[in-house]
Amino acid sequence: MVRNTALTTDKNILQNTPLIAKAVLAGASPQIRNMASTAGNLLQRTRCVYFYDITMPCNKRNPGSGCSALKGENSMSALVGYNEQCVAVHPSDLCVALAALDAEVFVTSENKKKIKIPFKDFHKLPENTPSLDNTLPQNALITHIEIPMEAFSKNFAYVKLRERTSYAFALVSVASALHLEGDKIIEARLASGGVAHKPWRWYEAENYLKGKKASAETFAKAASIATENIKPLSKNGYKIPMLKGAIETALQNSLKS
Amino acid sequence: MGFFDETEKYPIPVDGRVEALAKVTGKGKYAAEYEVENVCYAVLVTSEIPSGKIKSLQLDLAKQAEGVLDIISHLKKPAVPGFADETKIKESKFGLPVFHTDTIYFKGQPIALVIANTFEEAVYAASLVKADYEKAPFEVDFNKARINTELKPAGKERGSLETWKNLPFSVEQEYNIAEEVHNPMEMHATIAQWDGNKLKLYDKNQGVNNVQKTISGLFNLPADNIQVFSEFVGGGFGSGLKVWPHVLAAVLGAKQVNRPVKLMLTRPQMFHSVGYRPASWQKIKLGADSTGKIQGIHHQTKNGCAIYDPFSDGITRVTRLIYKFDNLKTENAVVPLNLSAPTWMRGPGDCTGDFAVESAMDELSYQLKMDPVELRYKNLALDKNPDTGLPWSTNYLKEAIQKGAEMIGWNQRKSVPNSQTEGDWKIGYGMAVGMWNAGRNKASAGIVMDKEGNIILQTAMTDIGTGTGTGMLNILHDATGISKSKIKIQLGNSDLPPAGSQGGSTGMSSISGAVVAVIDVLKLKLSEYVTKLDSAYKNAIAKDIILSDTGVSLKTTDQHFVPYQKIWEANNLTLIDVEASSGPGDERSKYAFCSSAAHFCKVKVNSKTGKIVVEKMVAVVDGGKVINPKPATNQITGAAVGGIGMALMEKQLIDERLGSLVGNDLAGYHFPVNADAPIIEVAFINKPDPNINPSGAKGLGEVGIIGVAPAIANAVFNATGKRFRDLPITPEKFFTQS
Repeated sequence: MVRNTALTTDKNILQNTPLIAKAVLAGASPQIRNMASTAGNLLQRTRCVYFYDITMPCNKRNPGSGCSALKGENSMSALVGYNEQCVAVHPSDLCVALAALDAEVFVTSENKKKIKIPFKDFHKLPENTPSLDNTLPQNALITHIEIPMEAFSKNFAYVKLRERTSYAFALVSVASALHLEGDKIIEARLASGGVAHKPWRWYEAENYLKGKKASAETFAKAASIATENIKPLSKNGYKIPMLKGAIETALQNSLKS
Repeated sequence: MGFFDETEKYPIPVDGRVEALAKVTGKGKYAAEYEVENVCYAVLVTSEIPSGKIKSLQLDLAKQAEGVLDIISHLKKPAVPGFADETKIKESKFGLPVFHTDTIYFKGQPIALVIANTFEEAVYAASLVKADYEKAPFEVDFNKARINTELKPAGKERGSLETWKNLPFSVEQEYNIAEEVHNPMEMHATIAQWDGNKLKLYDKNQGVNNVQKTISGLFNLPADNIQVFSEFVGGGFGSGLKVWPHVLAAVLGAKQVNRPVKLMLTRPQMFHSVGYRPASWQKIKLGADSTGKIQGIHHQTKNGCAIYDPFSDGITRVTRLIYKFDNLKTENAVVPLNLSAPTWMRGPGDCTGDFAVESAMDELSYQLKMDPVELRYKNLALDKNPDTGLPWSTNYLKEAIQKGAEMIGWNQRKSVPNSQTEGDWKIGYGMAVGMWNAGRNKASAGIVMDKEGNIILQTAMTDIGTGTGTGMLNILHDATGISKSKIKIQLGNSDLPPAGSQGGSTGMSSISGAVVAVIDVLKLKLSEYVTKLDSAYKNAIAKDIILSDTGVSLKTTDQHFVPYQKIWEANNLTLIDVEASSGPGDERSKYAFCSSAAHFCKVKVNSKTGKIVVEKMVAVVDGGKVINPKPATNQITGAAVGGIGMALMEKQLIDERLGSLVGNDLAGYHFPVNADAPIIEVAFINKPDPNINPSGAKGLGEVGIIGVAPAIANAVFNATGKRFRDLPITPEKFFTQS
């Protein structure tokens, strides 16, 4: 499949689904993007520090050994969808945009069957199988990804908040896209990275925005809805107000087409 | 090899670095790149637990792996006389008695060295080594452990705390700074090669003579038996001022297998093998009268250290430098932890202490409703070192502040915090000053000259990126008029005239005197030879002898020019080889010496996302005479970027429950990227110090970072009304701190 960089320069993508390009450009570095493949990006593993240190318990790497991050250094860990077995987040920016745009992952299985996986179902939550990041069947091959051409090519934004301006993973990220008619929101898409084991869609906030006027007030309300009732871990409570600010900022930025 | 490539045909750009082409073409060899015949590779196996003892080591599998030559551990290693017993180990001051103990002091401690024919074979075999441990309780939580560590006096108390107990304006606050890691671009590496009882070391360090001394002490060998090369150094920042365990490991490995051994630390290993700036806690109580004059400061500090190395970061030193006031009490404690040993990191101690002092001064300024700049003017100790009472040889800090205020547009600053916004962004300005004692050490330089008048200027001092070589060339060129194209520099080699380490901002200050001294020695030597041809040179003094590209002359009306060719022929010479050394003298007891900097910045802080952007940054520096404008500016901007890192993002994470560093790699440890810094505007006062050394240059390496973090924190307060006293000020803190 094509390299990440190709996603940022392709005329088709820039014209019809430019949110993809914006999200990809927020990740990694030019050199990495020149080499990374699209499917590889989907399948990349978490960046949780305990996953990489083989001397530390990690259910993802070594099922049954425990989750070191749960009560440990979890400032970069999940806010939602986690459980005691695993609090890792999926690190991709591209996937947040694909989630926002309801992409579909096309797979050829081991016995040559063609399968289509909606993006929201491609990555999974830890559940009882934290060692599995996604639902790709064993020995199957991702052949391509399809992104529906909907009305999100004009008003979109990708906000990635991190500890430095570049070359770092997200503390939280927000992909937003608005289908506007005048200042009326026909449909809104909101997805986040840095918050869960999979890219996270804020469906409730999206539903709230539907039919509403695009304004600072409605954006603030949408952000509140998204960040309601989130139970953080011991060290990542900051992500809640940060996420709120990121959603508001992303929606605001989406107005500038 | 050689600092200056003999085969290089390209001329040096006029204001460029002498080593530029060697570096960018890859011809310059860093420690791991020297080609040594028959070299083999060593990889460290490190402890998986933070505390306890090694019960057993299973080496069989590893030993049988393909290409493995041998494995060193505490069970089997060549003898190190300097580690013969506990007393000797303590005396050696080496730190960790690597492979001479079964005690584990920190996770990551070297427990075995696997040596194999290829690097890949060594890495694989190292993964097969298994250790059984007897675990013991550990402590890596600095904030927990420091609570019970007792403070002790650090330096003499001045005046008394009693006299200023109840002042109308006072600040009493605590400041915390997370552990920071040097992370020079070049991983530390050593190639060790024994030949009988002679040892060659291609080693990444900041001082070849220091390595010589340390290793010769450990092995009871004359220093001359040990030859150390550190010609190109990919950044040090203090991590190369000590000889670390991996160096000794390579030396032992080479002895064991009787072949040259190359060892390079991995990036994750770098985080626990070559020192770091330890985590610190500070408490400052500062009191002033109603005019803003400081009456007293009580500064208490604690820093983390290793159990086997009670490193004290000297955090209260800076409190004794900048301001003039009568009552000062400073106290310190070191907090032993199950971590590797920390060490000096760019602006050690002063950087840390200055954050507290300059933050407290800023807080005081708001209490007094006084411009922070005015408050500094009111209190600067411009005439004398406030501690020793010695007059400053030169101190232009006030001028630096004035200039900095002008450059940043300080009059744009609003005196009421949180009162300037542009959309979601809050705008603020902050400033802080930094100072550093300007030192000078003894150093030697040598000159080798040929009959064409080509000169090789030599010293053992390293150039860790500071531009030492370029400075030496410039000094020689300026002093003699000899064309830069006729001068080559050789450095970073222990065969060359000895010098101290490059560190503490003393490099240029020390070597400049040596260069000036050796020029004089060369002149006198030439004069001696010329006397044969022209008796006018008999008894000529250095001052009156003039060198040029082609020959010598005298400072008399009828110059007496004699070409080098003639001198060589008449005396049957091939090369002239002279050496001279110079060092500090009694000027050190007559004057106090300092470098200083005024840092100003403009920040904008996003009230929704917590992002802090340093929009504008100005540094005005009094470093005496600026010998190399470009490298000097580079020093300051590089240091400023380090300051941005210190202020906004650098922190080494530690898991207190597991007793381990986490995220110790360049993905987990964040220092600034280009996009994190504006173009840093630098100005130099550039007035020579007439007493410090013949060049008039004071040190520049560290003042550039001392004061940056408080300048940024102060700007963030001005922008938001939020005072951050814990570094780094990451976006997270914007939300967690009220």
